Amino acid sequence: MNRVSIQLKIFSGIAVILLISVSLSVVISVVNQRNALLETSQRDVRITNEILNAVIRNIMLDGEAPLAVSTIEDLQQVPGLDQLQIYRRDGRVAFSDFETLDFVNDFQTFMMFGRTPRQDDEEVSLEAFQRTVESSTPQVVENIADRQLEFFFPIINTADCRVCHGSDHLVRGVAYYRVSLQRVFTEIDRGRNTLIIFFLGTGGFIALVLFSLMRRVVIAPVQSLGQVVQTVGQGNLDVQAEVRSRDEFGLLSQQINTMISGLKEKNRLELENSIIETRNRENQKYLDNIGEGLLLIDSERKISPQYSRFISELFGTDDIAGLGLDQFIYPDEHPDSDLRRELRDFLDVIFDSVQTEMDMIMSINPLKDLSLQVSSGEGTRRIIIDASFYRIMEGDRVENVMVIFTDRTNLVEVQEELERERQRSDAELEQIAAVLRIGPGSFSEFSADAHSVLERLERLESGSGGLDIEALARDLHSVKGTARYLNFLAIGESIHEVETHLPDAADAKLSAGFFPALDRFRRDLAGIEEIKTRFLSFSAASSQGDAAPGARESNVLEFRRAVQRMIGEIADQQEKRIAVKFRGSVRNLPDFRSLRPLLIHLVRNAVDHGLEERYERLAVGKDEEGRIEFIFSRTEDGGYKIIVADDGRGIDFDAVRARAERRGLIEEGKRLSRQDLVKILFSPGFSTRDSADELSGRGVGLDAVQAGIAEMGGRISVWTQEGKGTHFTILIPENFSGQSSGNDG
Amino acid sequence: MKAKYINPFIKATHNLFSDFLGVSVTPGAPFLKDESSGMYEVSGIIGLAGETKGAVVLSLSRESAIKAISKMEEREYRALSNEVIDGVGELINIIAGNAKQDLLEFRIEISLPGVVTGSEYKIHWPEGIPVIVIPFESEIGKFSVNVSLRDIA
Amino acid sequence: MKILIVDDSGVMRRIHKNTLLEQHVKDEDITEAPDGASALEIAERETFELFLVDWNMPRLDGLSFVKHLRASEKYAKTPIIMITSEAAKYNVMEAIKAGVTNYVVKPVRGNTLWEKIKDYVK
Repeated sequence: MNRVSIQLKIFSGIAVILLISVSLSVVISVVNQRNALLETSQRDVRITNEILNAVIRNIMLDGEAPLAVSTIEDLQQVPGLDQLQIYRRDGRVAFSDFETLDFVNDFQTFMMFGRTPRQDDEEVSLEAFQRTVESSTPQVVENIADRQLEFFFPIINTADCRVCHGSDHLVRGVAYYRVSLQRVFTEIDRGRNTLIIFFLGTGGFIALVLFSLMRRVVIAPVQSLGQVVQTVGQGNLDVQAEVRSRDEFGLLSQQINTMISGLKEKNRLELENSIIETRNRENQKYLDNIGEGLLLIDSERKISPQYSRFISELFGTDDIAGLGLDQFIYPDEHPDSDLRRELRDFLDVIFDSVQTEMDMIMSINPLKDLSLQVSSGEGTRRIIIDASFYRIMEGDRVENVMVIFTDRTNLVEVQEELERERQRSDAELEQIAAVLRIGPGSFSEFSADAHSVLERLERLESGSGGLDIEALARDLHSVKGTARYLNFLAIGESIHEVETHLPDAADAKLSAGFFPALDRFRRDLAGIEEIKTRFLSFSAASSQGDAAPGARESNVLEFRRAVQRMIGEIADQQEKRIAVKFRGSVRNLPDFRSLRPLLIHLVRNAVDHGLEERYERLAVGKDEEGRIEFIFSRTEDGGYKIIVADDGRGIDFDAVRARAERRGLIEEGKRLSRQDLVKILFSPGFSTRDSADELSGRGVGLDAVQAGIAEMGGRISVWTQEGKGTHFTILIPENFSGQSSGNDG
Repeated sequence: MKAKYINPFIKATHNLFSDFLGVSVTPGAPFLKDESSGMYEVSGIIGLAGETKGAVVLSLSRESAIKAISKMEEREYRALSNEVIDGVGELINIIAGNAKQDLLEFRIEISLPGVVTGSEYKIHWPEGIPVIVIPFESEIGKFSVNVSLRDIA
Repeated sequence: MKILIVDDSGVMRRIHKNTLLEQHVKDEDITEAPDGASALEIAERETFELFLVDWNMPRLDGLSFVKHLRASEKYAKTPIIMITSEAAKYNVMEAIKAGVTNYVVKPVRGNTLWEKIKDYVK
């Protein structure tokens, strides 16, 4: 459909009306003017005729026809009269022959008229002439083509005239005038043109004013309303009709606006409905599938029911809606605990401190790279999460806080695994070197001990009871000590992991972490075996003389190197500076396989508990560097004396007492001598597995050392002084052939 | 005094001089303060209060103070002017304030810094708490960080 | 765009000011105050659109100064950037609760500071 614009319509309407009114005005005024002018002309001619009539009659009454003729001839010269002629009633020009003269001379007797020269002859036979003669009334003929006006006036045969001309006729002749209307019409044309110009000018102006008025009052509002309606029709409801005037258009705009907001409201409701629906459907799908934990916290600080399934998977919990975030993250913590309070505080400032930028608040995010123990159906596991918080604003207010959890567990675990792999391959070389140094003997011992422990662990794994858990723990610990001492770092760590997950009793439920730890231990042990096999084939291929070069080395020397290396690593971790000193002339110790783990245990004790941190030492006026001393000597009866001494803080007897009380080993408040406390220190169950520190002894303390020494037929004593240090003295008989402390099942 | 209470000050000092001012520094062996050991001509002092108590002092040689502040303000100072002394106060403020980030066990309030200059002055440290001196060698001269903090362990 | 720098250290004030001048902030738009109390007087007398505030200052510390500003109608929403050596989490939390807009830990380089404050400088 071709649409004709309203603008064009109004414009052409105004133009047509204007044209018609201008034309009408011009026609009317032209006609009026023309009539007026014509009337003036006619009046002039009539007056002229009356004058002529009077003049001619008077002249003729005096009988002076020649005078009349000359008068006519003179009048014919008057400007404005195109033609003037007097005709007789027979249509001939008056005074053109002697017919009338002769008749008059015959008719009357008192006067004779002489013949005077005649006018040119001419005959008129016009219709108007005839009508004038017959009706004796004047006739006017308008000759439009020539722009002329012809007048025919009858010359009446009055009483005076009848004296000479007889009374048989009423009309003597006709006076004929022809007047040019050229001037009149020129004037009319000029007037018309002026009028047209004038009307067109004013009319154009009026039209322009009208048009712009229409534009402003009608067209523009219609167009802008049209645009608004069109935009709305296209589905955009974010428009408003401008309410500019207080007329019907203003009203219409208001009505359109009301309609738009009605539509908007309707749309909003529909949108809200569909949002709610799709939230429940699509969002749930989204929430079910994204690999991010996403949840919303409402202004009541509670978790909204919409959260991603990943959250449930990550945390191993469901049904978290309505919980506080702190309760969700730290379900096992007391609501007033620092952790939970900190998280609540943090959330509060996200909601309340709206002037503060989120980047500042996020700088104290308590859920950054947070390691958590979560328990699900199959035991507990560790996860590492990272949470980001986002404000969802409603005006100046925080309506919701969105929390996005990222699971960093795998990432961190992969990093840890990579680090372990790296260590393992580094360690492999070290191990080969170590094996080369110490010879396959010590290696086989370690391997046998480790297998013994593994076998018992596997029995535990398969659920067959009857195991001495305490003995297993002790042996495990001692294998770990040997592993570290042999610089088998990877296996040392996997044994440590197994220790962490070792149950308190043989029939206790095994934790989820036990199985992977045991697998790792098994794998690492197989790796060690592999190295051993390689080593054996290497040494077989080597020349006889150089085979197992370490085999001949003094075991004290070998021990010294291992201890120094071990201490070097631990000291750095603990902010300690430690110098190890070996003294004595003993090159080889008896039953070193049993003795070595016990000595290592004492060294570890000295490093972990005896020696202070560097600044602590400075603060009490000691050297920054702590000292551990080994003195190996022979006794007079041929036995061996081993002193392990440190210059650390000494045994804290108050702490020993407190711990013994806590463990239920002594009655609370009972007075005990230092001697008694030392005994307690060596008694089974004094040290505990509750301090899960990688370095300190766990579950196996000095009681294990004492048990081991006793098995060898020796004894151990201790000297200690607060602030000065602790010395352990071990005496072992010469000819003792002890059995392995690790293989007794 | 535990390392975890000293190390934050060493770390903050290292960050300030090495990372921020671009001065390579080498910490020397720490020692226990006696009388005036480890003190130089300009010392910025800040008291530590709150859940523990103590003080921390940054002591700089005249030269190192002038050069450190010149680097900080990117403007050449030649004398131990008021500006340099003001700047040393700012340095110790930064060390103490930044160290708090890693002193997680207790809440600490730091005092306004004070600066003393000269060759003969004595700092009255909190009684009964040892002072650990960490000497530093650097391309702009010698300085030391002196920490005295009561353990609450 | 009038900015008030509040710091008891003249060196620090100069460093901050130079950072602003380098970014074409006009000299006459920058006012300095050596402590919270005098800053409060200046802030009442004149009107500022951005505050750079130190924490540890004599007479009135930065935190109290911020609380005063926030309590007044005039500065309830004006950007206030705390520039301080105080790096402990609990300090940051206190500053948030006092109503600061953002937080910069000293020592800070000029361009790092500018990155943090440029959105507030018109």
